[in-house]
Amino acid sequence: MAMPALREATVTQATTARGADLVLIALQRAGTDVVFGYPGGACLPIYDALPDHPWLKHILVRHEQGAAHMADGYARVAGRPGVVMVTSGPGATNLVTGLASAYMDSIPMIAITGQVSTALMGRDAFQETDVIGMVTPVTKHAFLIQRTEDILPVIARAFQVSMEGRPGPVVVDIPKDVQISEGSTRAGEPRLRGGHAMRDLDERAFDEAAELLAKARKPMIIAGHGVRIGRAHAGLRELAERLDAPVAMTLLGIGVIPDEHPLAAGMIGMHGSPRTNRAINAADVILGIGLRFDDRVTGKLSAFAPNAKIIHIDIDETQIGKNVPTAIGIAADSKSAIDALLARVQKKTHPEWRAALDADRAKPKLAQFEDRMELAPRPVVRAIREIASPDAYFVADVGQHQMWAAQHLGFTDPDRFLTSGGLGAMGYALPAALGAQVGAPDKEVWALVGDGGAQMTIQEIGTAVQEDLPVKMIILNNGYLGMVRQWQQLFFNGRISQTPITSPDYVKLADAYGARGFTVERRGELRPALEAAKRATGPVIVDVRIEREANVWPIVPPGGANADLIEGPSS
Amino acid sequence: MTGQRFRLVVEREVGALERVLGVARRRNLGVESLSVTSTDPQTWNVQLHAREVAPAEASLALRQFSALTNVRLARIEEV
Ligand SMILES: Cc1ncc(C[n+]2csc(CCOP(=O)(O)OP(=O)(O)O)c2C)c(N)n1
Repeated sequence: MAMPALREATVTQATTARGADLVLIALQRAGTDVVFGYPGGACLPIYDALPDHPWLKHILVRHEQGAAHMADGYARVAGRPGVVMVTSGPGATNLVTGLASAYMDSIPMIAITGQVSTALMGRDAFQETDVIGMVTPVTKHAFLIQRTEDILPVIARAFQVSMEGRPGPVVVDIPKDVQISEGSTRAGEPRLRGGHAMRDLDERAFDEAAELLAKARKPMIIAGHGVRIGRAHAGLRELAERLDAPVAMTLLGIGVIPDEHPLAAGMIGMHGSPRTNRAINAADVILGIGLRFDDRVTGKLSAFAPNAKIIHIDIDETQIGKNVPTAIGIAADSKSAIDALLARVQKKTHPEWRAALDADRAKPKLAQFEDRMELAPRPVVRAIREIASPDAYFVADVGQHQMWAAQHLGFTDPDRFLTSGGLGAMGYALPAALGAQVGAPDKEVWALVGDGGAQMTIQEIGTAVQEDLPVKMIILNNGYLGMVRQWQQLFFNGRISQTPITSPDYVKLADAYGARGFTVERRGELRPALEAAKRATGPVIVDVRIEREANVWPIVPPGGANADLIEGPSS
Repeated sequence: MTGQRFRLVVEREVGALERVLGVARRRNLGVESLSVTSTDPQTWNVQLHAREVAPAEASLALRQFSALTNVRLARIEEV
């Protein structure tokens, strides 16, 4: 007799699972499909469960700092939290730099740290560290899971905390015994606690802000990372045009308005454009959106924007009024805030203000110095820009090359520049570029790195080879910890102390790792090497021997006012 | 005694009190006294008496307390 057609099937699903499986189930429910990690004793049960969850791709890093930076790069590109998984003790301590960088730059991240078993905690057990105590100042929140049944709700909650409001990293510390015992797979929804939902927009404050902007004669906008995170760049551009207000950008705000837009005023601050810094000085109303006005932006606080009333909008209420006195402070996400302002402001024009700014274009002073150099930084950065595809991602490490990248890459898109802006962590670029490549497998990812920073996390080339990630690592090699050498030269009477640094032969190193390497010593070698890097299907290192003592111009002397910037070598 | 008294209702969770103290330290509140009591199994009532701090700093501290994930309620009283 034929079997009757199947009309109903009961799928029996396990109702309990080991804690280790619950961790992975929680990640799946949160939409994670990749983790960056490194195994060890205290997270062995999770690694043991991993093969049973083939939907989850695990990328084995070479150092846990690399995992955190990869998750950071991934999050910036993919727009969802990057996930890290490491063991207790040294695994967790190695994470700290990456957490701190993500915290400063508002990057959503979940770090799962294995912990010694609950019975051993507090006994200085092998590989025990007080993870919660250690990471609290550099994370948005840190959870210790003490019962297996809490795994699902706590991890769900961790994702929520990481993404809501101002994003940031969240650590979930899970003792080994909690990973081994069984718990229900049914639990799930996080207990919604705390009262941190966004409050209603403060309509009156927006009215006042619109009024102040309407009265402004020299308005200026400063856009920070919050505009990028809030996906508010289109509205920002419209608002700038409506107000006829030039837009200055912080290091992480770069790209929110295309470089060629007539209202794009460039970067503000220590290495910002002189024109922008002078404009901020002259402005009568400043609208700051999605930034915290840190010292690299303001220079000497008492001399910052002396003629301006400041309207400060930030999603993080604790930033408002913290660093600069504000006429109007509004806690709101950048997109809603910009929409609220757009609904209130009329079209304005400020021909005199715009003309004064345009007349203050930087004179092309640098060119004469560049001509004398075989490989000057600016033309090198420009060549990278020209050869890279228009939608490539650029990741800068920390130092002189970071500022050259920010100044000369010329962004037309808000989301193409990644760097450790707040913490300024050398070693960021290569691993963050790998994370970005995982998040955007079809795009080119170029890392611009100094020879100092390169040597901090170079081992992640091993990860790139193992995972076949075709990142292009361009080392702007000047034989110095260049930025520090520049400060010694300018502000410490030229006394060079511990800044010359040697490098390995990067071509041999690349070869040893199974990657490709090129050296560029002459102008004529640059483009062919960059073209080869572009075409490569695997990771590439290009060692570009740039002018050894080139400096970043302009520069605001530390502690100085933005208006007192030094424009170039002759001034 | 003069100064400010911060009253907080904090969820009982590992690290919650440390986070409160972290804000007190970073805002340089100059803690004179601190007491933690509990009326239910879910929360702690924290009273933190701060040396006199500038009103702007105190209000920033208050906002930072309220921004902590574990803090359900925060207020400030002049004493
Ligand atoms: C982890 C870390 N250590 C130290 C510093 C301080 N620091 C800032 S820039 C810099 C020099 C960077 O040198 P290099 O990587 O060669 O880049 P360059 O400035 O030459 O472009 C140093 C040491 C830092 N930012 N991060």
